Formats: sequence, C-alpha cells, structure tokens
Amino acid sequence: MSQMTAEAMKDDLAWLPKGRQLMKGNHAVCAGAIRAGCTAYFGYPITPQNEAIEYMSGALLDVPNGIFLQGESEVASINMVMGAAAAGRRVMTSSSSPGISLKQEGISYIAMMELPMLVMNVVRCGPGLGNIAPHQGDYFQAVKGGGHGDYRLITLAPASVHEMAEHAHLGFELACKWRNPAMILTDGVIGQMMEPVDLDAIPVVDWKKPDWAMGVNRTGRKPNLVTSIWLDPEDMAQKHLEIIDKYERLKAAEVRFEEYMCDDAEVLCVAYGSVSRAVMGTVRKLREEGMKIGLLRPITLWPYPYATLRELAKKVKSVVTYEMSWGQMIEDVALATRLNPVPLHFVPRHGGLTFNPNDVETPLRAIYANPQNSDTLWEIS
Amino acid sequence: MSDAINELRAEVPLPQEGFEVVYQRPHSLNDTQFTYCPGCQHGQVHLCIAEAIDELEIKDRMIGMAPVGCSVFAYWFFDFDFISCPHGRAPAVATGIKRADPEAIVLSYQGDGDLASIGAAEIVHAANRGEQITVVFINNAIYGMTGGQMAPTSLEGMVTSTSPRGRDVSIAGKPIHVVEMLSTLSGVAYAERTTAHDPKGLIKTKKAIKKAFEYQMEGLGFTIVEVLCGCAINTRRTPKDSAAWVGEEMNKVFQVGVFKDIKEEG
Amino acid sequence: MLHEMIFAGFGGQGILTMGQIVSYGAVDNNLETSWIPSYGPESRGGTSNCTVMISDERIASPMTAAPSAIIVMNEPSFTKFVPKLKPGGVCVANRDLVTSDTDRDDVEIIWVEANLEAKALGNLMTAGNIALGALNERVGFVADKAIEDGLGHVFSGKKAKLIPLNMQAYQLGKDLARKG
Repeated sequence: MSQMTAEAMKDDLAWLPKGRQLMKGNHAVCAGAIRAGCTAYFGYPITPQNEAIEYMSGALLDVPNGIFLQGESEVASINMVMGAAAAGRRVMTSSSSPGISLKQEGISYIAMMELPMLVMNVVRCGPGLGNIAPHQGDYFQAVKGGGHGDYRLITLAPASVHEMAEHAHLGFELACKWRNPAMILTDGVIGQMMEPVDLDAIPVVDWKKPDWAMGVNRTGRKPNLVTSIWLDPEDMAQKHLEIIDKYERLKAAEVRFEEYMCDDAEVLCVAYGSVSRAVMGTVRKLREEGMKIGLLRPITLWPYPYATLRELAKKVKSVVTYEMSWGQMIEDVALATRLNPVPLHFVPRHGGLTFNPNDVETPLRAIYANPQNSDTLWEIS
Repeated sequence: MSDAINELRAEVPLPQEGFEVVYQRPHSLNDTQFTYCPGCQHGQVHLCIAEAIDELEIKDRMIGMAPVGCSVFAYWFFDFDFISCPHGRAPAVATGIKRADPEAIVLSYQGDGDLASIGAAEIVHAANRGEQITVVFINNAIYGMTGGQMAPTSLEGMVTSTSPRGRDVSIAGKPIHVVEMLSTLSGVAYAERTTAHDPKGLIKTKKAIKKAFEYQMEGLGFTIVEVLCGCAINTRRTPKDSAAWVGEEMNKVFQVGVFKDIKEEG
Repeated sequence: MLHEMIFAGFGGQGILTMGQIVSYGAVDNNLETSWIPSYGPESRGGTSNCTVMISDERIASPMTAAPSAIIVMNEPSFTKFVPKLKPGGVCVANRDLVTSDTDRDDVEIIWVEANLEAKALGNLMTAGNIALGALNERVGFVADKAIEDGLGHVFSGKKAKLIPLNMQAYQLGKDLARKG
C-alpha cells in the first residue's frame, strides 16, 4: 500500500470513533456501535438517554451511508428499526423505561421475524412515569420477554462505560450470529457516568447485507419474505420448535459472567450492572479484613448464568442478591439454587436511590455473621 | 395454491401454433389464486399494482409492506420481497427500508383501519417527511378482517358491527378524509383518490399507481393513492350491490380526483 | 492509591466541569477514573455535585458514602458533605460563601477565599480552579500537567484562550494552600 493510499484511508476513516477517551456511557455505547458496523439509528428523546440520540444525530452524518432519524414516537422508531434491519443494516435504537414499553410491540415482531438489532434501555424508576433516577425494575421485561408471545432477548448488562462500548459490539455480533434482537440493559449511573473507554479495543466491523435481507442481490432469485405470521398452527409449531432449538443452542454457547473472589467465599453476592460496582468495592474492602466474600456478576442476563451460580452456591453459607428493584433477578437466583437450598438474602434499593458502599456493607456484615439473618432473608412467597 | 386448482389448470389446453398471447398474468404476481372474498376489490387493485410495476420494469427493485387487515397476506400473491408489518406501522417500516436501501421502490399497502386509525401518526409523519415511498390506501369504509366493525372512514349513519344503530357522528366524528388531509403537507408529491368499483375506476387507479411509482423513481416525495373499494361480505350486500354502493354512496362522501400533484403545481 | 472525591457547590459555579477537568486529565495520564454527576435526591437541597474517583487500578464503586477529599463551594455543600468526610480526609472550603464551621477535629479544612481571589484575577468563574489547586497541593491526586491536559479538553476551540487564566488560578490555589 502506497503512502498516499494510507493517507487517503486515514482521512476516509475520520468518522471512526477511536483512541482512549473519557466518555459518558450513553456516548460510549454509540461509539462502540459505530465501530461494530452500525450505520442506522432511529429513536425518540427521553431522559436519561438523550446523550445517545444526540450523539448519533451527529455521528451518523459522517458514517458512510449512515442513517439517523428522530421518529415521531418510540412506536414509529422501533418499526423504522425493523425496516432497516430487514433491509440488512446493523441498526440500533435506545430509550428509557416508558419508551421501551412502547417499543415492546415492535420488539415482539422483530423477535419472531428473527431480525438482528440492538436496543438500549437506560432504565429509570417506574412504574408509570416514575422518575428519571437509576433503577433495575425492567429486568423481567428484558429477560422474560417484554412484548406479547414467547421470545427472549439477548440481554447484556454492562457495568462500566468501557463495557457499554464493548457490549454494543457484542450485542450486534450475538444478534447477527443468532438472528435475534439484543438489548443492553443499563441505567443512568452507567449512562451518565464518565470513564475511560479504550475504543481501539472494540473491533471494527465492515457489515455486509445478508442473504435473507430485503433487496439483496436483486435479480434472479426468489422473493425474500420477512414475517411473523404463520396462520396454520402446524406451521407455527414447527417455527416455534426451530426457535426453541436456537435458544437452547444460544444458552449453551453464550452465557457470560464475571466471578470476583469467589473461590473460597462463604458468602456469595450476586449483582449486575451499576449495582455490581458498589458490591465489588465492598467485597474488596471486606476481603482486606479477611472476610471470605465473593461476587458473581452476570454479564448476560439472558442467557442467565444458572449453572455457574448453582455450582458456586453449593460452596457457600448464603447468597445475597443486590438489586435496585422490588425483587426480580432474585427469582433467577432462586431458580438457580432450587436443588441445593441455601439461605437467600435480598437487599434492595427503591425509588431511584442508588447503592452507596454503606448500603452494601451493613447488611453484608450482618449476613456474614449470621447466614440466617432475618432482616434480609428471602423466600418464595 | 391447492391441488384442485392445479388439476383444473392442467386440463386447460396450452396455446397451440397460430395462437398468440394477448393477455396474461403480470410477472409481478405469482400464480397463487387470490383468496379475497367475492365482491372485494383487493384482487383488482393488486392487479393494477402488478401491471404498473411490469410496465415500469421495476419488479426487481420492489419491496412491499403488508399491513394488518384483509391484505395481511398480500405477499402470497406478489412476486417480490415483502415484509409483514405491525398494525398501522407500515409507513415507519417503509421509512426504515427506504432509507436503508434508497435503490428500492417501496410499496406500502394499507387499509383504512390500519392507515387512518391506529397508524394515523405514522402515515402523517411519513408523508410530512416526504418519504420516497408509495402508499396504496384501500378505503372500504369498514374493518374487513375482524368482521365488519366501524372504521374511521365509515359513512355517517352506516351500520356496522360496532355501530349497530348507524355511525353517530356526535359520538364517533365524521369519516376521515385522508388524501385531502395529507395533500396539505409539503412532503407529499402526489395524492389522488380513485375508485375500484368499475372498469373506468380501475383504469384510473392503475394510472394513478403507475404515476405514484414514477414520482417515487424520480425522488419527488411521498405518494399516495386512495382507492375506494367495497366490502360486500361485511356490508351484507351482493358483489354487484356493493360495487354500486361504492359508486353512489361512498363517492358522495369521498370525492375522486387528484388532490396534490407536485408537477402540476410547477 | 484510590482518591474518592466529591466536588460540590451550587449550579453555575462550574462544579461538574471542575470534576471533568480532573477526570479528563487523569485519562490523558493513564490513570483510572470515573466522574458521575449527582443524581436524584442527592442533587436537591442547594448543591450541585459530582463524584470523581482517581486510582491506578480498576475502580469498583463510582460512588462513595465517605469521600477522602472534598471541595465545597457554598454553605449547603459544607453542611452536607463535611460530616461524610473520611477520618483524615481533606476539605477545601470556599470561605466567601461558607459561614458555618465544623466540630470535627479528625479532618483537615483548608479555607480559601475563592470568590475574592477569583475576582482579583478578573474572572469569578476561576474560583473552582483556585479550590482545585488548593486540594491537589494538599492531596496530590494528579500531576499538575494532568490539570492542564484536562483544561484542554474542557476549554477547546474558541474557549482555549481561557486555559492560561485557569492554570494561573490553579497555581494560585496551590500557593494559598502551601502558605496555609
């Protein structure tokens, strides 16, 4: 390659986010997406994710063949995403809880159409209009379906700003590999926080239109059809079995998690996303005091690391789940440990209040001292 | 389609020497028999669309949006790429497709419940943005697939399964005039209302649809053709009476004609 | 070494920007850092604040209940955050807008007349950087070069002309803290 070509290429790639930068989470996810070959974004403003739509509104003007459109509603936006995904683009949208509820219709269709796309939910506190503070109340909606019908979203839970960028790439890779929509489930802590992001570590993807897409290789082939309707129950049952089989293979292949100081732990903490950061700090601190405490951080919330959690739980005296919700992931912890019952503890934060280290440490000390600590003991009721 | 039909077809003698083909199924339709009810004009309008596409030689560039409604399976009949859209969202899906693939000629085929009721926001904003798509809007003044409920286009006093004493405009408002409304938007390049109840209307319908596609190919903006049709089954009429009702009653409320033509405006 | 810092004042004092200067500078000098603005109830009650973490290893919690160093630019921030300061922690307080005092003798309070000094420099908006200089002189969470780098990120383009003045304010803050 001549020097001139290299120079020209350098200029051509001026749009590519790169380097080690201090970024907000809501920006990092977009930068990571663009590196991962995302050329289209459709969305609607809602706090606390406006930095994402604002970033894309500028950045995608510079990306070759980039498309940005502010839809008239969340409903319209997710359907625009559906169209661009059907036309073979790597396309994303982002919103926050009330807006994600509006997108659920489209997400259900997209799941049944087996279209890859990425949606970010910067969860805020609900139900209803709630408030704009961080929360984890959309866990069930994300990992158990969300819209109508049986389906699952590949759900990723970044715990840092760098992971926001990383998960944008991972989300697109998994979505395209499995032809299934993927969601980044995060909150305002990660979305609004600034941290260093090593963008050069995020792979650059030159995405090509796949064979199943609308309008691909236009001449001399049979029509491509993207649909979610199979009127004959026999046909639909066949389709269901295909997707169920896909999900089983996906579950076997794509579970991701981080174990932190779990080897000799007597108390196992479970937390995801921003909450895991507070818990990790406390685990680190109490380890220095010699307390044997570990943390399991699920990175994929679907598929959930049931098997890992089951094995870890066999070796501990109690398991503590930290969540900014009324109690959602704790049910998956209970599912994972159902065959080898161990005392389960639940430590929530409500209303949009976040976990300060003290909110983690005080109950953890009590549970460490007494695995049956009644203040936090949780049972299926 | 079914084995019985294929058997019937096999019995039809093939053209012999000395014969020439003067009329045949358009290439843009496949050989599936229409499944629409007696007295319904969806089939005729499909034919208008297919002939326009053939004449413009754009079949390979076509991508169709199937709505929710009687034409939910439109892709059974058309021989090009199709996506079946959520109820009313076809203009948004079309927006995503056209922007992702500007070479495509995009057809959004929608009924009155789909377009004028649940999808009112999507159609208005797609039109206002001047999306380079062609909408064929079938107005039969009723919900067909769900069994004859009142549509936003149902006529004043019209009896439906959800307006058993006739559409009361003090409760439900008057029928909505879609092309008139959309023609006020600057993004709209072409808006015409035609009727499909008689051969004259169908000839105009095909011309209008062809013109709309041409405008899309020229990148002039959003194009819509509203086609008045009958739903004989749900209005409890014979096909003949249904067609007559479209020509008389519907035509009184919904004037046919061109409401916007960017070229005529200069 | 982990520095857990909270910068607080009222809206318009450039508190959030002050935190970003530190975090940007830390990134440019290969440190780990996090910056998070105050959220929800924390942002009520007359304070705008941000939490800034600086470390040479992976940062766990981006929030803290017990900061090791704080800058408080007004009265409500002083009464809110001084009680939370870790034993042995350092507080730089803006004498011009804080009238009360603290009983705590296990923390160090550095009083700076930030507003008056900033006005003397000709720009009230430099008050924050005077306080920043005072805190970094005492705590040393980043090198001076990092502050200059950080200012370069926050004041870019047309605003770049503000960098020298703000560095001057930062140096003044250091001098004031050294003199005690």
